[in-house]
Amino acid sequence: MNTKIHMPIFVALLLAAVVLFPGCEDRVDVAAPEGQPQLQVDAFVNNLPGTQVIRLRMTTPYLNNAPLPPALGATVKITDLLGRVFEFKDDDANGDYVWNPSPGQTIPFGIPPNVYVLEINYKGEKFTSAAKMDSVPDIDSLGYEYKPAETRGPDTLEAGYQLTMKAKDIPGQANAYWFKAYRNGVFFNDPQDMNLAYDGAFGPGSDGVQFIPPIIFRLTPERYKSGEKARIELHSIGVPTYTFLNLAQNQMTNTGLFARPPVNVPTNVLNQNKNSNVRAVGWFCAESIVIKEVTFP
Amino acid sequence: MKYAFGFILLLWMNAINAQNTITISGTVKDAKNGEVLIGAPVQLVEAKAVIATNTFGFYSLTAPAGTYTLRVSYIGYLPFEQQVQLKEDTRLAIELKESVQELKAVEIKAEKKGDNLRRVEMSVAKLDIKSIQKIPALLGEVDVVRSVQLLPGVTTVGEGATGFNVRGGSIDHNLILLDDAPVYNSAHLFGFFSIFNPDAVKDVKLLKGGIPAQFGGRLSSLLDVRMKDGNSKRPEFHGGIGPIFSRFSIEAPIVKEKASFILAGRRSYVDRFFPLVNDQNIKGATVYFYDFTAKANWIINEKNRLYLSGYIGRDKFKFGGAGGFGWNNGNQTATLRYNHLFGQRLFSNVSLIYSNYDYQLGVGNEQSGFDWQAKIKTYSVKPEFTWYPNSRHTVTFGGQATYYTFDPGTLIFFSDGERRQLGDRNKYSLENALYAGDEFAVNGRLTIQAGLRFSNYNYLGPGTAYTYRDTVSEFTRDTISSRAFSSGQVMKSYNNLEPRLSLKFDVDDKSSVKASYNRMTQTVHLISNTTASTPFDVWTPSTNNIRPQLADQVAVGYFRNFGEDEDWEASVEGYYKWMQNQIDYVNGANLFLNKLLEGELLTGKGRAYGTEFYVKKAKGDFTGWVSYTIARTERLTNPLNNGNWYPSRFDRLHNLNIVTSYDLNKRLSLSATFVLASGTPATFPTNRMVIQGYVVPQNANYSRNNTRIPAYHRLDVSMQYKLRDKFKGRYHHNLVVSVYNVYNRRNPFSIYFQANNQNPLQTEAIQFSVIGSIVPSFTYNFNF
Repeated sequence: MNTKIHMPIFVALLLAAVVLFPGCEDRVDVAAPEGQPQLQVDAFVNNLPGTQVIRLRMTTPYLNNAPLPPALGATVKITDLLGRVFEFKDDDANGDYVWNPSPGQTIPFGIPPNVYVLEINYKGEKFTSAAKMDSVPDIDSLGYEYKPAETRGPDTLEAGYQLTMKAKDIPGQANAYWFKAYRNGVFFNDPQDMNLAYDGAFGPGSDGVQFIPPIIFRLTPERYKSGEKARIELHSIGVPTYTFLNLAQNQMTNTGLFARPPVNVPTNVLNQNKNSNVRAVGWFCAESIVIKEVTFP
Repeated sequence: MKYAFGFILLLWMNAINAQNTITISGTVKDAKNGEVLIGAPVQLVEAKAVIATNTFGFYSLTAPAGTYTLRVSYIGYLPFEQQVQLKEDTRLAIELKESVQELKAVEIKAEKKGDNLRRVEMSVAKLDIKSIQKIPALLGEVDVVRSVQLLPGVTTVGEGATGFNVRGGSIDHNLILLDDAPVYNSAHLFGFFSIFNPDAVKDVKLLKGGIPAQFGGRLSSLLDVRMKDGNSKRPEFHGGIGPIFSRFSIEAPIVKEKASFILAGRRSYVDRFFPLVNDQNIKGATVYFYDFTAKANWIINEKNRLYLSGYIGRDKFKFGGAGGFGWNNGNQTATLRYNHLFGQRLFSNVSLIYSNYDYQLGVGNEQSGFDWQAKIKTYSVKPEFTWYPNSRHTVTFGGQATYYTFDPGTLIFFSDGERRQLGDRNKYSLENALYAGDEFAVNGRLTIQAGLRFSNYNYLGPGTAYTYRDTVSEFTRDTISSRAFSSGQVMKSYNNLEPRLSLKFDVDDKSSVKASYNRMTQTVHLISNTTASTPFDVWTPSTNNIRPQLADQVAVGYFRNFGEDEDWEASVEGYYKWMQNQIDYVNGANLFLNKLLEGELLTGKGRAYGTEFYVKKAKGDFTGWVSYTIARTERLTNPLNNGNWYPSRFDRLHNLNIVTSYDLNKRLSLSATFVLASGTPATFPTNRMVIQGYVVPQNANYSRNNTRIPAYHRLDVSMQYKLRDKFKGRYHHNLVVSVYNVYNRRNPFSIYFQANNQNPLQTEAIQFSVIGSIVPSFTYNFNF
């Protein structure tokens, strides 16, 4: 199994770059080279009750900040190991292909461990993908402590509440997690704050341990204030998705003195016709999720 | 085969030694401080014999019995001339007096040939520390590596880039030697300053091609930095105070003209001002770097001499106090060298060499935190012999054995007091080499330097050799099997023959044509896929999967001197370099703490070609050079760039350097440097995807380096003012005022794309400049 440990070195370089070489950053207009639009699949399905959504879009020029146009007229379905078939429909013609549980359905869509196979037919091309849904450990406790203003590397943290959490990696297998933090229901969506873990840390060798401090720290991208509510979602995403998100994060935060040559993130949505030169981009993930919330006094 | 080779060697040695001749030998030194002079040409005029002193200042000339004029003319020194009668083998120690301005008028105009024409070696640049000191320096700190970057064929990715690129090679393709010890990271503070203390450096030589057989192990260049031996005549002190460093050095005889030492230190002191800054972040921070350079030498007797030199340097950074985040990195080197003279004609030197580079970074404490360490350590023994059989041959032979230990990175982390360890185990390798070479003056016009180096490499246990899927993919490859080896077992060997050949043909007294071919191999590799190399990059040995890198280079050059006093030197050189087994990286390669690192690597080819134009004025009030290089360097690594050639990340088509210095009068000199270079290639995304609310860049053409950032240009100026000597002329001091980036250009280091801070769904292009302003500085230097 491949180790993915960009984290500490990444943080180190970021710190080095920011602290020592603030350098100069100028927003510039550049003529980015052109590329053909591609079908983009954003398919993260989970074990939570309710609807599941798969977003199909067409990619646009990188610096075009308008929303991506929908990819319409596709047929989308997922089958699982139990032989169940879930059909996703774009009833609103906005590229969001939705599956709704039928009324009275008691068995949820996501049952870890299970394997899900995605099939998309779009403009005569057939794309497929498969993803395993791993189990998710419980968050044993979610607490907080009040911290005075403090600097951490180049960052200044205001006084406020910092989350504490106790949770352990599931022992005996390679697991990967994505911790998503929300303040008053708003997701901390800065790519720098994407908080990923491989087992209890950043790679094999940390199997079964408590999640280590950098991961806990990062549950608090900004200190929480009195009366605010924090929600922590622990997503068990599986190692392939960890690799994908890790690389995506690197690409989105690939800045400064120690930037690497940009590269494409992989896709696990593959054209069944090996001879076709039409490629899809994007990712299919089956994740299981636990959620804990806390309100600050 | 081996025996046959030895036999032929013997025959040939006999053949070139079968003359009844007499030898004169000795050392050439600076009369003022007793420093031996490297590369000083010693001539027996009537015999038409000339030899340049070796790195220990030694010369040996052989001629039939008779009376000769012995002449040494070396830049910066008054010519030396003496009648010598060769009846029996003679020792002659030569001391050269420095030429000072006033004496210029009486300089003897001899029918000498310029140094650049006389040497058979090409693609070489010598920088003496005096000319380095005249170049305007960033923050006033005279810097060896930054001066090297102004030479033709040498480029850099930009300010803040560790190292330099020679003729399209990567930064790890440079063999950087400090008194024979390899230096794995030549930079302080991520490349802003080099580790070489100018007060302790005697001589700097960069070889870009035609590298002789005694050197090997890197593809592109040799940067040979020689430390001063220390004044053997009287104590001498040098020092300087600048905005970044303070320097101080002592050199003195231990036993007059028998033994001496030098001790030189530098320390940065920005951090001393931190407590004054009203910023929490900075107040508690530790940021400093220091280096110590020391050397001692002992002339045991005429035939034996011992040198011991060492270097220790370190960069330290710590933020957030105890339990905060910090790192440190540094080199240590030590070299013990023993010169022995067998008779008058066989000079030998044995070096024992140690070198270590390591870094460590950590956060937190033993309850919760982590500690990360990595290093590369080298032990080496290097016997080398130079035999001067007659005036037409200089034969070099010897060998080298080097044992490497690589710690590619160990991460120890503590979670809730629980200790865990991650990372790869140490790797070991042994590199052996044997070489022989001859510099042969065929006739008055043609000189040949030919050599052969045999290199043998062993990847040693303990360790695990992995076999990977051999499909070509832009993503990580999996292992299919592995085999464990025990300590000392050879896991994989490689043997290589490296022919080296240089030719020099004198067209006339003022011009010559030179050509060279060399094959180089490299078994240590710097694993780095950042635009600028970082101190945290990992060195890795060749393994069963990582083959030694190979390079073949041919170069042709025309050299001509102009001017009445031959004070203008000009050259044009063209080169073509083919590189094999070049390392590149799969998309999103994980290069840290990864025992399956080899699965993240791709292998490709490289080619680099270009033409270098160089005009230099080395003598007079006005000195300097102009160099212009037009060059390409490209890589072909399947499946990157859809399997097509692409420019490497340090490709710069045009590169112009103008370095000038003018001595206005005895006290005041002015210098200016102008640099212009094409922008480096970059890969820009073409498309955007939106995944889980994040905008992810995508290159729908799957191309590499599909565009170029704007050009780099910069002007620096400096003024050196010699203050009036104090204490009866014993205390000399000067002031240097320099301005870096005079017209305040924000040179782009890179252009990158990022999500807007306020709204991550908006993306923008950012031009990043490492130095975004004019940087003035002021330095005070003294010596007594």
